[in-house]
Amino acid sequence: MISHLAARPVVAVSWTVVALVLLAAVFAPVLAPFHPIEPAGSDRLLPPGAPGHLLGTDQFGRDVLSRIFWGARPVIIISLAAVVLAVGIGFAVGLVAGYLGGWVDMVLMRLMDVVLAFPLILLAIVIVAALGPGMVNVIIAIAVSQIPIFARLVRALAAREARKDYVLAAQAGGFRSLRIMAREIAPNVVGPVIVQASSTVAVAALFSAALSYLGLGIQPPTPDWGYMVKEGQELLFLSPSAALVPGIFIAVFVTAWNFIGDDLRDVLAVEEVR
Amino acid sequence: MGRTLTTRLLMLPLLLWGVVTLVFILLRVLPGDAATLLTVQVQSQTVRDQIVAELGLDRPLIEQYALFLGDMLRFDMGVSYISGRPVTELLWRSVPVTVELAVMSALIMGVLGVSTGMLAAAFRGRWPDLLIRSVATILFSVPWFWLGILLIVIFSVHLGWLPSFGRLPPQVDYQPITNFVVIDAILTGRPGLIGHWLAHILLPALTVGLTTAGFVTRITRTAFLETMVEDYVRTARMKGMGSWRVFWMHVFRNAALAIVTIFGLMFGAMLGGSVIAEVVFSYPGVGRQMIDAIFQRDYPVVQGGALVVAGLYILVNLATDLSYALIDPRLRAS
Amino acid sequence: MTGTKNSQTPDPKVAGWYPTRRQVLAGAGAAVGAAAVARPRLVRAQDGTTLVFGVNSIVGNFEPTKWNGFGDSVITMDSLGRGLTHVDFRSVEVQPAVAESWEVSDDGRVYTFTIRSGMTFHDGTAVTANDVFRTFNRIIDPEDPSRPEAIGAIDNLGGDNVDGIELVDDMTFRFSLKERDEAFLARLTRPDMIIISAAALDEFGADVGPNLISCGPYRLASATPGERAVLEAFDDYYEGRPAIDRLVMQVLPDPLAMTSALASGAVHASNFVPHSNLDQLEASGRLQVFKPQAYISLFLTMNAVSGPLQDIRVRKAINLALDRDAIIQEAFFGHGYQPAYMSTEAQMGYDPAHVAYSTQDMDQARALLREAGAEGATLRMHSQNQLFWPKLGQVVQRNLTELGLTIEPQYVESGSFFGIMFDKEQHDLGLWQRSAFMPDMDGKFSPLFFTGTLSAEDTTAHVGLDTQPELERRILEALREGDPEARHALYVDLNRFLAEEVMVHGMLANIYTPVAAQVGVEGLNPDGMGTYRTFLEDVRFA
Repeated sequence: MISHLAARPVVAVSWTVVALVLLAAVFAPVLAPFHPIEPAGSDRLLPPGAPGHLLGTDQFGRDVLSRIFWGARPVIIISLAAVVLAVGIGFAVGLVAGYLGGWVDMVLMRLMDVVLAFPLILLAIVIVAALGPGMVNVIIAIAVSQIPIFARLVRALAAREARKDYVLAAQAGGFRSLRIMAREIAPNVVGPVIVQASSTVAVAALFSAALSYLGLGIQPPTPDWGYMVKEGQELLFLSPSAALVPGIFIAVFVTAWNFIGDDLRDVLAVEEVR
Repeated sequence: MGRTLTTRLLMLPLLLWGVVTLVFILLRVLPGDAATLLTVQVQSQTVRDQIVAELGLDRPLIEQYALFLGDMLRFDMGVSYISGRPVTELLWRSVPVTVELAVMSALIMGVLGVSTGMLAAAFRGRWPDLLIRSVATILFSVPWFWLGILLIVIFSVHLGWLPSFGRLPPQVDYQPITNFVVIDAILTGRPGLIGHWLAHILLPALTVGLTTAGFVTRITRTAFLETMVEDYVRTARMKGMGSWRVFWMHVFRNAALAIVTIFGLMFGAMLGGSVIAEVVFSYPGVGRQMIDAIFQRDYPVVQGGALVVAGLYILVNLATDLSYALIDPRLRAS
Repeated sequence: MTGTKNSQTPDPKVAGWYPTRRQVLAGAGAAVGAAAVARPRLVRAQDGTTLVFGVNSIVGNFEPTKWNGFGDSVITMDSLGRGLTHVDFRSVEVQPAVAESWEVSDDGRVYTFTIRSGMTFHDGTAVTANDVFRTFNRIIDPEDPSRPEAIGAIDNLGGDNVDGIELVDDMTFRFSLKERDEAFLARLTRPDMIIISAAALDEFGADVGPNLISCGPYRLASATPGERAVLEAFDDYYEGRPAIDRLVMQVLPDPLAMTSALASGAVHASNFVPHSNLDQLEASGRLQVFKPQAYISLFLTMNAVSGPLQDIRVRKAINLALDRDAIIQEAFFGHGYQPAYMSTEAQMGYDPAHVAYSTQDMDQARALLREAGAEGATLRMHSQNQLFWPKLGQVVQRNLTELGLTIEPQYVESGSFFGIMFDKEQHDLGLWQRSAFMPDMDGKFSPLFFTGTLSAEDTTAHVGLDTQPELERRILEALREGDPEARHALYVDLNRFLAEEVMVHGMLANIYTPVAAQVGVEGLNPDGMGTYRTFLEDVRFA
């Protein structure tokens, strides 16, 4: 493990970034020098580097650095929870479709096609608008839009595995479908799914930011990197850092996950998902 | 292949039915309706009730759905609740704009992605490979809207090189014939239009193209690396074939398969990216139109837009599979 | 009204679209020098001068009686059309327009209008009383064949108070009302009351919107939904042809896009500029920024049938907890005014003493809340998720949290917002505004407080309070008072009554929509533009 990371400094840095964001999220109350929502009691719109405010203050006089620390929470929670949900449901759908085949496969996969045929971001927008904004609903919206990707992947893999000898043997041995699926097929499908999941974490983080940008994500005043870009955008002529800084944090976090996904692909020797 | 193609063509209406039904249901779950928005300025309950009745929003959902399906079967997409104009007219105004943007983005994505991917493959394991792969990964990790804002600030506000909004300059008079600017410019003999159009489309297309090119870089690189070690390539080399010839005859042709596939898959992302780019750059395409329509509860426009966008997506994927078969004779035979 | 008047005024044609390298940011001078080389060829207007005006939307339907959003129904309409009467918002006085003069019967119920002679529509036909009759008949008569669906303009005429209309002769038209209505002449100045050519109604019927023919200073040349509307100067406009040849209403829904388009010179003027950037735009020396009169009231609505808000002491406590200074500074960057109550300074019923109602007093607020036993109560607060609304919401939430309430904010898109605010079960507090398309104070009182309006029934839901009969009596009394001074006094008292006895709106700020224009653009009317009414007939390049 260590030698692997030593050989690939980019991956080591990526894991460090993810770990740091996680630490920032968990220890935000300790790390943040100021309250993330109440004004820091000083001037508004201070530039980065102002005394006491490393990243300056926003239009309400809140400390930007503190909001960045707290803003790590929704990013981590949304991207991970959405992926867990999408993987869970997608895995089940794909496994059932791939193993059972026939009309079940047909119906499930056409349903997935329907979801995929609608631009995912529009689908997420409609779902959030329907459920109302807020973290849980953002997670649901992103998860729903990513389910088909996992369902398709798992189905393809499961269908391939289902034709292999060991499964046929298990069937001949009189094992029930559910057991074969759980015991025999699922473990062989896990590798590619992990790889896909790691890059979907990146996609989910981007989606969450996009929803926030459209005003449909995390609700202010809760700190959120995507919403900070939206708020900062209007101040671009007044204080350019307001939009740039949180955007850089999103980009770095997402980049890290993408590098991790790449690395996992190599490590687990998974082909590119076509 | 022929049979699967027929099945898939037959599947098209079914898929579209699924899409419009999904949209129909989702929209009805949203709180609020168009009648409310139309009444905000007058505030009268009586007026709202009258508008609700006139739009048919007081009918049972199942009846609304039946009417809607009936209209769709007659290719009647209805009239926008908000603007009172036929949905077909609104879509004719907006869909070509998005198609232009998607094609331009795909061009940027393709040229950038394939060339960098090939370079990376050629320098496998050495620093250009690492550099390209890193930049590619970073680019597709940047939030689309943030990159758009950055481009506006740099190229429109600071440098003043490129316009930051719209499809054509406000002063230019453009009466669409096909509503594809390049075609209309040729038809009407106004080549000047193309320059303006390019200046306006460049930043939004870059936003989408740059954030998607990284995927193509990665796929291209892998595809080339895989084909380069295939037996027939080694054989050709051993037979003394020049390396350029081997490259074009065998490697490129086979790698093209993978690349074409990714194009089909990426088209969905492209449409999604266009939605955001259209919002940031005030670009008058179907994505922005649909977002506005969702927010205004303009059901006919959302439903019509979803039908067309989904149709486009499915057709492009179909075309991808067809070209797949054309490039690879083995698939055609089976 | 103040503006930066800069002696350095660029040639309007050179000030066309994107002149390069505007030094918007203080440090932007370091931009690459190569910019000048790449300067794009300037687009010459086809013939004469073109003014580009930034709007938030164009849907391409200019049906006056239907609400199609600010871009179509107000901004563009004000250039396309004229009504019987007109108001320029520099004062609230009603002036003649299509009606040259009028007579009002002694009981105030019959208005006889003499149509201006020699006036023509954009299609060349003469303006007659018949056109006026046709225009209003489609609003009033549900059976009129040229009446479009989904319209609600009748309410803006006073609802069923309109008794009938009469075509007296070729140049005389008459309105009969059931009751005296002192706001009636002002109602006719609204953009939905513009006069439409009868010939166009014959040709297009209910579908006249995309082909509107009226008699305003500009005529419609073309419109592309979501993109722009193009207008051309009308040669036979009765006050003289405008100096600008073409007027382009350019759609720029995004605040950043609007700001950068103004900063780069691609847009000449707009009243959809975010407050946040005004000072920087002005400091750049390229733009003039106006601070017009405020006609827009921003308020916090309180649902009088919901939980603790049923107690007027809680509503008063909330009102007293609001910090208007912080709101004006943090949400509007100083571009707003301290409110008195519902009347703004330019409007009837304004009394500086009422500022006391809208001044923060945390001690008294806490005492009231304690008295009502509502400390620690949890309330939902709904707001739109665009423009200045979330900023406003965050300040209000901070104030109310300090008061000792728990606020659950929901920032939603417009469709959800109005759906929720018009359902009294779904909300407690809401952020909302009332602008003044007509300056008469009844435009704020009747639609917000009368039984049968969505606002009174569902938003503040105050129709069941014991004060409602008295409130309605006072609104009608003020509406029917013929003497302006007495009427003003009635509105002053109505403001007082609302603040002391009803208190379902906590005033947040009096604002205007910011107006900015390139230096060298003259003849704008910022007072009207500040409340969306955009009269561009006098606009020209210096």
